[in-house]
Amino acid sequence: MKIIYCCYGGAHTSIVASSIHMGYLPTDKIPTSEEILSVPYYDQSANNSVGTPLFMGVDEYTNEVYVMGMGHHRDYYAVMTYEYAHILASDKGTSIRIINALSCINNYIRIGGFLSRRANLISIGRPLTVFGIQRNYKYFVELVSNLKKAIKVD
Amino acid sequence: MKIIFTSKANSYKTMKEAYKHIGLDEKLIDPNCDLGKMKLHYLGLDSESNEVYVSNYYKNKHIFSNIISGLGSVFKEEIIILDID
Repeated sequence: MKIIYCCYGGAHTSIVASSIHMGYLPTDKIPTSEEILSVPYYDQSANNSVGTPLFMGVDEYTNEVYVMGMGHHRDYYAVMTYEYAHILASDKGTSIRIINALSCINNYIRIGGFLSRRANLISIGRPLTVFGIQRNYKYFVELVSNLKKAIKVD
Repeated sequence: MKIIFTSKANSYKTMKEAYKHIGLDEKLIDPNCDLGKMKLHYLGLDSESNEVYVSNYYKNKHIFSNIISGLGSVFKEEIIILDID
């Protein structure tokens, strides 16, 4: 199976959720700023790369984990991605699951993400996103844990 | 290989180009046809057995293109996107 964590720009929430999934970030404690900032692709994606799937690794169930930004029109793009992946996967015997990591967002991540990625004020925006992620970290852990339970059932 | 004909929102023009590519009669297209927003429609196979699809990207063409070509490479499938705008 291919698992795609999606969010607005593919730079913060989806990266953190997929990193928890892959074991790059802990599930039993809130990670430090250094741990969050050392995650691959964290606060890196450029505006023109939104929509490009980023490979995060292969999990313990041999699922491939990806991250993808979908911009404002996530609802339409999620449907299109499912349909398109179904076309592509039908002859390859694999399936796809799209997880909306934006359910874990708060205003600190939102504003920090805008300042860092859009306004290019990285020194202000990046620490703000880290703070926001630390505040909502339990929701990220819960999201990933629910997904892994669902995968086991499947 | 999959070929995707796309435009911002001009469904008729997109269909017309795709019909031409496949070699179908353009008169069969409904002038009021609507492909919807960001939906892929399978049209058929061309002379080289490539699957032909049509779609309107509606907004944010770069996101549409990135998703289509990115997922294509994830599934190791060759994709050509033809923007007719």
